[in-house]
Amino acid sequence: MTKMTFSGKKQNLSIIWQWYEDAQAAFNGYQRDTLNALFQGETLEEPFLFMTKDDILNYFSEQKSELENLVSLNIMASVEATIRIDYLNRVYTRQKDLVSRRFRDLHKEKGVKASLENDILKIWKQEQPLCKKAIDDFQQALKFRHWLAHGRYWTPKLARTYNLNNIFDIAEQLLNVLQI
Amino acid sequence: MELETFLRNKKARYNTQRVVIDREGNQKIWLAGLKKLYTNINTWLNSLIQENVVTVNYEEITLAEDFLEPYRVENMHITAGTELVSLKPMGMNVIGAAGRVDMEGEESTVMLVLLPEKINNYQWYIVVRTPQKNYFPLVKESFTDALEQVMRKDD
Repeated sequence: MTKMTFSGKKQNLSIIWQWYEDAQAAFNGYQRDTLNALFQGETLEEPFLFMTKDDILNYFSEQKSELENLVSLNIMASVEATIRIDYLNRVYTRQKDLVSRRFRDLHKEKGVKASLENDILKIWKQEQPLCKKAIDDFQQALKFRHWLAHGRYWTPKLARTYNLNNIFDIAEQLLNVLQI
Repeated sequence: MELETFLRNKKARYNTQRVVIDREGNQKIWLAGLKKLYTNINTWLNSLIQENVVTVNYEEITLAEDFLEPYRVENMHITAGTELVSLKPMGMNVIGAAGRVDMEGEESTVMLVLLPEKINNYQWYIVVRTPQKNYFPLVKESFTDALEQVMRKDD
């Protein structure tokens, strides 16, 4: 069996959240500097030339919304990585629980190409029914992840409105119930 | 920090920022510029108003801007056929200009900005995005181009 070499670059949720808070603080500092320039009658170049206060606030609101989208995508990617690493570790270490046994069978058939949604999470749901809701919530949110990851060129049919806070909650809840 | 201290600090900062520049003087420049803008447009449209090709009317509004008491200005509405073009003063607190008026038609909006030309002399400019913002003096010809841009493109 050829084992996948892990990069060690996977980010966990707390690292991603810290990065988000740093980036948000930077945006807020930039916003304050821009508003101070307006209040003090200073001239700024593009993109702020001829902006009013409302224009500036709208501009930064959009930038911060985009930051939240990108961090949401990173959170979903991090959870996917955690689930896949756990899948492979269970196979490589030949653990004896039901999920691990099912994963070994899956690995014999599909190896590292096992589908997150159709294979790995399906086994989790079948073997750990108490995790079903958290997995379902995550799978619904994957539609939002796919929309972000593939360029947002279509109108997504989402079960609910997603934002950074509820994406973080969904991700954290899934990792908690799976205990990985 | 206590609530009272926190909000008093905010007010103190506001008062400090308020006096950094001559806001009352700037407001006079802005309001005079606005008057000049409407006068110029009326001059350009005068013969068409006489011929009932267009009508011009005004709507009084209140602008609330930081560091100033709310004050009254007018939107200018130009009606041509079934179309309305509105010139809406956005305010004098604008980065890089002494004031801004947005000219809104059915199809788009064009910015007009008041910029210093020489000492104590201000001129209106029309802002064109290409895609950076460029600006050209607002004269009858550029005003006509702006109208064509914001109004319906008839065949």
